[in-house]
Amino acid sequence: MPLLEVKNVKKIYTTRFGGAQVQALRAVNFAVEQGEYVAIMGESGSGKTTLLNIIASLDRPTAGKVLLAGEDVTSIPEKQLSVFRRKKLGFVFQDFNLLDTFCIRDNIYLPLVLSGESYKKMEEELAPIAKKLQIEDILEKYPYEISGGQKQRCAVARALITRPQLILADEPTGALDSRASDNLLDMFSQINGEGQTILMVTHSVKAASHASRVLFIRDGEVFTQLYRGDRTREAFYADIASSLTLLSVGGEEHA
Amino acid sequence: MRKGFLPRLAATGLKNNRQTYLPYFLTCTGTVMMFYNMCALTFHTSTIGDGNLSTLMSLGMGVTAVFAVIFLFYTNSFVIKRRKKEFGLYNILGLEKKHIGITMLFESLYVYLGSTALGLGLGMLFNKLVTLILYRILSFDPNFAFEISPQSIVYTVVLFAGIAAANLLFNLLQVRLSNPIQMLRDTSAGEKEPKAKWISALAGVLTLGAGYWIALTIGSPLDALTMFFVAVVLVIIGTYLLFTAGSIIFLKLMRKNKKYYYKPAHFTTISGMIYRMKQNAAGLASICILSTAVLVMISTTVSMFVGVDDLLHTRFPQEIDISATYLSGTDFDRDGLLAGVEETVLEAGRQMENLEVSTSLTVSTQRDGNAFVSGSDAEVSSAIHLLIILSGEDYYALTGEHVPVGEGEIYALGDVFESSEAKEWDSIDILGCPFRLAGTGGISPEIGTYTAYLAEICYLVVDDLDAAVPVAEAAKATYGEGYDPFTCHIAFDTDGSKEEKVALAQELSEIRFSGFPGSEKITFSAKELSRDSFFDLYGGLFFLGIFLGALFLMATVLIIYYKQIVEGYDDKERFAIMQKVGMSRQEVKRTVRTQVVLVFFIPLLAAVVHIAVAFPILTKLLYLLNLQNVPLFFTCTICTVLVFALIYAIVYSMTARTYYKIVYRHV
Repeated sequence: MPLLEVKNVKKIYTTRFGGAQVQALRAVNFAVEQGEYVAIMGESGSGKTTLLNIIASLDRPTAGKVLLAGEDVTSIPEKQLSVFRRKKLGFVFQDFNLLDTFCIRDNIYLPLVLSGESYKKMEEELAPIAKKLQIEDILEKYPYEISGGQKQRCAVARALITRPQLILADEPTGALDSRASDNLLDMFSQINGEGQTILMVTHSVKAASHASRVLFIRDGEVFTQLYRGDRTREAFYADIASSLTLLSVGGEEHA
Repeated sequence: MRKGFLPRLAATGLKNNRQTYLPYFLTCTGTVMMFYNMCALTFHTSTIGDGNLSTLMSLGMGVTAVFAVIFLFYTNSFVIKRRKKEFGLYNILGLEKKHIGITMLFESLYVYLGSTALGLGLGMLFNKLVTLILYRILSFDPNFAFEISPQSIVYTVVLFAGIAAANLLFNLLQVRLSNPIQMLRDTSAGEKEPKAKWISALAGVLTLGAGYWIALTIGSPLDALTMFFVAVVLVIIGTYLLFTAGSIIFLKLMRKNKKYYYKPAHFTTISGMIYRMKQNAAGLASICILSTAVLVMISTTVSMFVGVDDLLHTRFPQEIDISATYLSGTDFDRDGLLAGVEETVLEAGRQMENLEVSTSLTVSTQRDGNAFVSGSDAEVSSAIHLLIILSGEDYYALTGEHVPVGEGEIYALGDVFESSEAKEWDSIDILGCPFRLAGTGGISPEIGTYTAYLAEICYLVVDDLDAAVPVAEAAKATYGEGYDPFTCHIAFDTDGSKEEKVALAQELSEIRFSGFPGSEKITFSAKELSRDSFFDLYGGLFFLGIFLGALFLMATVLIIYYKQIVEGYDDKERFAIMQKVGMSRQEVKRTVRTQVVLVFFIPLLAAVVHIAVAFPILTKLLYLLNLQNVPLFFTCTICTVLVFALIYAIVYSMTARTYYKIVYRHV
């Protein structure tokens, strides 16, 4: 059984005064296996973020199902959603979403504190993650005191500390310079190498070339997909780039 | 640029920011209304009574004006903070700073014209009501013409034009000093966590403690009068320091306790409070001070007004008091004066009751060991002791008690003579004149004639008042020529109705006592004749208390409202993030509630503590104003606090709703 299954997901937005309807997702179908590293690409307005929000249970689909380890995310009652998000999912956002009111350590602890873990347990969980992400020295600092790359690594630590089944990353390199991007992507690869499943939405071909599979979305549907297989990253990069070109010129190819 | 674009841009700006501008506009309107009314009352009452009322009202006008300046400036600074981003955007989109300035000018103009016109209109409407309330309080005839006061309109228009201009200038300066990128950037971004300021906190504890100590340990009412403002200033400083520095230290200590801090219920609340205390502590302290001011003002004026009969009785223990002063050595015909008064009373068909006739020498002294010296000679300033020297005969007539006293001796009665120190004395010294002590005791019973004095009283009984002549001479040497040492008091009540009492008092007051042989000066006071001026004074104070109380309450309410809005915008993003990370709606709601409740009710709690501590010193101040009915004052204070807390809670629930709306809008 795949870890994540997206079945016929459809999303229609209705404007506030009940006028025009906008179809963000037409019918999205795909599955992610345990331990996979999947990137979703597409132009602005293709529905990537809507899709991610639905998988993250931040938004509900108009029709269709999202199964995480066999459990239907879309039918979880509102009250249990936050617990579900906290325990099963880890989030990495483009703009980090760290809280200025907490130091880095407390930012990372936040989901564990909400789950009512003991301080000792939190310390034990943090130690190896902080070491791996090289943020041990900045744990007592505040978000506004550190660089973007450091912030994003802290956000990754916060996502990892709950040992989630799936990491959802929304343009994680979007606000980083190229060095910090490379550094972060290397860490994603390393984490994925340790068995962590990652689903990443991105614009960046370079970011996508780190993944083991890339899904292309156009007009609210999965337009095509590419497996990296045994190719080098450079070769995969070139393939992704040409698929993107095809995507924007508008070829008729289906997965 | 097309003509009329900037005025229209200004109008749109106001419309789009109505959540911040509407309360500002209403504040302006409300303050205009209040000021116009205070002005109109000042001019209206200038023709009424003895001018006391008008003086009071002009005092109220002054307070309202000062308040208007401070408060409108404060609210304006909130508004401009929220607008900065928008102006930055205009700047980037190609609007020159000059044009932004013109837009701001139009905005200010709209707000000023609109609020002043509306405020004056409402003010005129309300003027009738307010005047009616004042008349009702003062028991005046409520028949008066509805009038518009052109003078007040001019005053109001000019004052608020000045305030609007000052605010505009401040806003223009804000825009001029910042570049568009700065204006665009979120104001709260990168705000550093506040440092723990131990010295400030310590200073806060000390000043607040000192203020409390003064309030709690103050001895006599006269000391209370001089020390009250010192205590008030100390408490204000202490409150500000403790709110700003103390709160952060307290919260940081809570954060240090890991077991306590890392709990879902405490984690977000404590960290959020630390963050917000930096920006809000001063505002919270202001709310606390304003609330305290409202509580003090209303509770004291209400109890004085309710207790006006008590006040009259304290000030005038007996209905009529005729005091004749004369110099030592003159031949003053006390019996002749008494006979004259009795005759007038009988002619009016009234009967004297509780007649007290006495002659005394009264000197105000300070104590230095067993020596009573004049204030200027005292090395250590101590409480004022009012020494009343009476003959044994008069003392017996007044109290029915025989005091054993021989020639050259003095029998001393008063609190000071009951101290263990005084028990050792065998003589006392008054202004350099020694007396052997025949005995000492406490004061009982009170003598009506002398209870209206507010200083600490001592009765000194001598066998013959001639023995006090050396003291009189010494007093004259100390206090100068105008001092007439001996006073003969004739104090009594009369029978009859209120009207008859007034008639008699008027008749007595018209008799020219001044020519009475041997007397320097005769003063006449009658309770019934003073009743009206007492009503004017305390009724006027009551009215002012309520009026200014309402004004301050409005201020408190608005500060709270603005705080919630500003915090709502600041917190919106934080709570959105927390929800993404896995905080449930319920948890967000709970955290929000805890924070809002804390922010709201800490100032109220502090205000109530202030009031409780201030109670002793306030009772002493009221004592000076002749109100000695402590249970009455206590009841009034409790009621005021309860009513205030109720209004406060209503404001809380209303603003909390606005806050939730802002926080949840995009979640």
